[in-house]
This record gives sequence, C-alpha cells and structure tokens, in this order.
Amino acid sequence: MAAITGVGAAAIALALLAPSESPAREESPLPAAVSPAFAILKPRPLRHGGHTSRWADVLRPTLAHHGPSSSAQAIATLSTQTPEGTTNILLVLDSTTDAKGDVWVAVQLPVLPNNTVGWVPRRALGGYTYLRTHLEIDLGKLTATLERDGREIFRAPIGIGLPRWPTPTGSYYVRDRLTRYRSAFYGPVAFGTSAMSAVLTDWPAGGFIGIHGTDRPELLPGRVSHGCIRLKNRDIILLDRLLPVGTPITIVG
Amino acid sequence: MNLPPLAHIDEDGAIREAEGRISRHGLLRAAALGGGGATVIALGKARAAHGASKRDVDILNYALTLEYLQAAFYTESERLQKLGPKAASAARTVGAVERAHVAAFRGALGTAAVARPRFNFKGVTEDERRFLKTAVAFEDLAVAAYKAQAPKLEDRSLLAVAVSIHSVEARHAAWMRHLFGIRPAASAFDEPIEKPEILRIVRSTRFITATPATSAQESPEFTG
Amino acid sequence: MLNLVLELEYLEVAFYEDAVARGAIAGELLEFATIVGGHERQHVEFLRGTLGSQAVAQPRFQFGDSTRDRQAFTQAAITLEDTMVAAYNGQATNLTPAALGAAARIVSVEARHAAWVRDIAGETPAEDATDAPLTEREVRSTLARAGLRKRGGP
Repeated sequence: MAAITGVGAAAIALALLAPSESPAREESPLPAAVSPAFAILKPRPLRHGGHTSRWADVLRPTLAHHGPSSSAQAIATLSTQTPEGTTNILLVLDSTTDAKGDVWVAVQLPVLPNNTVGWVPRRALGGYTYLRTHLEIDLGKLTATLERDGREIFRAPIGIGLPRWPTPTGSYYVRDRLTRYRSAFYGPVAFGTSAMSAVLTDWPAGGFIGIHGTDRPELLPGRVSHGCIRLKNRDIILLDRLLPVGTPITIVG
Repeated sequence: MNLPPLAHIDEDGAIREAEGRISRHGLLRAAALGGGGATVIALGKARAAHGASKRDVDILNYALTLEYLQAAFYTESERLQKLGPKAASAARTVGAVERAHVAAFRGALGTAAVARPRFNFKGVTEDERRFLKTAVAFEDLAVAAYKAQAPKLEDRSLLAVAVSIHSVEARHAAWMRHLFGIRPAASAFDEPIEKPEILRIVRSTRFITATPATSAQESPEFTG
Repeated sequence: MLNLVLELEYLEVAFYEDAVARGAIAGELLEFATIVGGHERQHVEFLRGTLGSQAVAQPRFQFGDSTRDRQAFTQAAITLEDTMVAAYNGQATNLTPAALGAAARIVSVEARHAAWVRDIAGETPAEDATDAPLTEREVRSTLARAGLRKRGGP
C-alpha cells in the first residue's frame, strides 16, 4: 500500500505537509476548535492525612464472627436498628477477601465486653462513609477533645461515671444522635456511643454510654454520672455542630 | 463487537445483583440518577451557568452523575489500599481525573448541579479483580454515554468540554482493560449508548444507595 | 473536514502495515500493530464511504527509521495516536451533529489505541483530565516536530 524507504519519522510529517494530492483547503486550514465553556483544573491527588475512619450501616441482620469466615465462632448478632430506632452503624477497621472471593470486614462491635472486634460479610453492610474527626474522652483530666485531621477543634470539661458505675475505657464510635426529646436531664442533644456500662447491664436499652447535655452544669467537671459523659448544654450544642455520627471515640483512663 | 458494559463483564454476578429484585430505595435511586423528579425540581429553581439551555443542563447533570459514580469508586479504591501496585497507580491517576471532572461540572452547573449520591460499592473497591472488572465496565459505559450525548449538546462550547472528556474516558477504558487482561480496543468503532439504557445499567448495579438515618427525635435511654 | 482525519487514517494504516511487514516488532507490540492496523483500515473505509466522491485519495508515505526498531516504533505510535485524538477533538466542534456522531465512534477507539501503546511502553495512558484539541496546522507541525527531532533537529 505504501512506498517505504528509510528517511526517518520526519517522513510522516513531510508526507502530511505535502501530500501527493493537494486539496484547495491547504491554503486556508480548517478552523480551530470552539473554546470550551469552562476549564477543567489539573487533577489533584487525594489527601492522605492518616486521620480517616469509615463506618457502614447494617443492611440486614447478621452474625459477627471471631474471624473472616462463616465457620469462625459467632460472637454477636447485629440488627439493622439501634434501640433508639436509628440505623445501626459499625465502625469499619479492615477488610480481607476469603478463598471463595467473598469480602469480609472487621468492625468495632457495640457489645459487651467492650472493645470487641468481629468480622461480618461485606454484603451485610451498606456503603462506607469517611470521616476525618476523632473524639478523645480523658477520664483523668475530665475533658472531651474533638480533633479534625489531627488538629484540635473543640475541648470541654465533662462529667463521667461515679466510681461504682465507671465509664469504660477503650475504642468506640458515635452511634447515633437524638434531638428534640423532652428530658432536661439529658440536655438538648444526646449522642449514643458503642460503649456499654459493664455494670448497669439491666439499664433500659442495655446500658449504652451516651454523650449529652445536663440540667446540673454545676456538677461539671466531675465523677457524677451512671457512666454517661455529660457536657454543659452550651458545649453539647457546639459539639453537635462539629461531631458527625460515626466518629471514632477513644476513652482513656 | 465491543463488550457491552456491566451486563457482559459481570459474568459471575459480582457487580450486579439478581435481576428483578425489588429495591427498597428504587425510587430514590432513580431520582438521584436524574431519571426522576429530583432533577426537574433542581432545574426549575436554578439558573445554570453560561446561560445553557435546559436540555444542555440536563446533559451536564447526567454526565455529572456518571462522574460522581466514577470519582467515588476510584477514591474509595485508593483509600482502602487493597489493590496491587499497577492497579493502585491507575486508580490514583484516574481517580484524580474523575474528581477534576466532578469539580468542573459542579462549578459550571452551580446551583443547578444534582446532589452527590451516596454509594455502596459492595466490596468491589477492596478486591483487585472486582475492582478491575468494575472499572472496565464504568469506563466503557462513560465512553458510550458521552458519545451519545455530545452530538445532542446545543452549545458548542459545552461540546468542546464534552469531547475533550470523552476521549480521556476512552483512554481510561483501555488502561483498565489492559490491566484486566482483555483487549483495550475491542473493535474499530465504539458505539453510543442512550441515556435510558445507561441509567438502567447503572441502577441495576445498586451502587447508588439511600442515606442511613443516624439521627432521631427520640428520648434517650443512655446510662445518664 | 473529515478529509483531514481520513488523511491521518491513511497514514496510520500505512504506518502499521510497514511496521508489521518489517518484522522489527514482536510480542504484544506486534499484536497491537496488527489489531490497530485493522481498525485503521476500517476507519479509512468508513470515512471514504461517508465522504463519497469528496474523499481525498490515498497519499504515499515513507516511514524509515520509525518502523525499524521497537523503540522508534513505540514512540512514533504514541505520537501518532495522541495526535489522532487531538485532531478529531480539534474538528469535533466544527462538525454537523451527524458527522460528529460518526467521528465520535472513531475518536474513542484512537484514544484506546493511544492508551494501549502507552501502557505497553510504560508511559501513563492518561494523565490529564482532558484531551486538548489541535488545529490542522498544529496537527501537521506536531508530527513534523516529532519527526525532525528524531532526525537530529530541524
């Protein structure tokens, strides 16, 4: 088809600059493209702060296992709803693919004993939500500190459990958020967490530790509660604007 | 013939759930994809940038929805770090490009832009083989979608944007196909796919999902 | 306007035929050249059919060193395919919707070719968010520059 001899790749260009047939349009080249309506900026890499966590909702009732396999020991039954009627969510820690090609995820479980990690099939969960916030509860200093991307954005004095009803230590997450209820005792906003009182197991709804306001601000900071974490109402209202549900919580002694 | 996206690539059903299963949130998903009422409401109120016609704004929002899907998919794949080095590198590069597309469309549409849907990728972002299969399907789909829509744009300056993205999506498709081990260019011609068929395929993945209710107006029973 | 891309498609057909005939490439590059060459032939037929009597005749080309070894072939193929994409994108906004629909069926295949040969060569198949258009003049001068550089400068 083509005549071929070796004069270099320039021949490609030369052939085009002077094609054997010279149409009239050579003298008036084709018009330029219409300018784009808007610019698309240069692609930017994802920020990896190292402070990202993720949570997912429980889509269907499922068993949490001790390992990433349905033959591993079952350690908890997970429902799709919390006792408060919100969607049951889990903090996701890791994932792996088993020999059959099924994905399993490691999750922080809202069960006793506290700090239990279990494995659930990926298909039992919904989509991941990514967060950059982290809440630290210091039982010694009696403070709650919220960080975003590792930087402190909120700090407030807190009330925690009395010595006989201690607030548990360990790794948890914010499970839900309740508002517009009629209870001055809990203040204007109450967050549910995945932490549970190890002693008040017969408490209604199972004894989950909450983070909420109070009608007794004069008691804060102090060891005053049944295990819950109390903030002054103005602090919990501010925290409510900064703390997304699903945020990991670390409670240190 | 080119492989039709998703329908053929997903031979083991990893991407698509069984046909005919009734979805709890079907209506909401349809709306989020611009197939339902939500888009119409958004457009009714909003003034699109560049004085684009309603038809053009519709096309841009449709493209934006596909870009949202791709951007979220690659971004999650990069975050979860379950891919081998080559696939991870491709996910990083392509993800950054899809995010740039999203940002550009959102900027251009302003208040007329459809909201970002919530996604559940069901593990395809955390397993390399499923990642590549899904990536091939998404990219072939995007190429076919842009190809069908570009000639429909009334504004030539919007067409300029669309064609410059169209061929990039084709590069992505070839890249992902090469990584997956199938022919990057399956035939001499790529065929367009019209919007209803694209939306049907996207819906069938059930990757677009409802937002969980994590707040309630309920009296607390925490330990107090 | 489609005559510009027809001319480029002729060039591609001849280029890949030459590369395969010379036998300097093997393995996946040979597979690439064979398959892509076949695609380009179909593009030529399609564009000739679309243009009818207005179609330009096939020019004669010379390729020389660009098809002589693996390295030169790869670089020339990348330049060619990238330039094809830019040429199509450059004309797209000046086409009628029907002609645009026809060109769109081809340009994405050229983009696939570009990404394919780039990935074989270890170059990023797509690093930018858009494929910028080139004018007819730019298409010709880009190819000229690539060639002249290989030859040791203009």
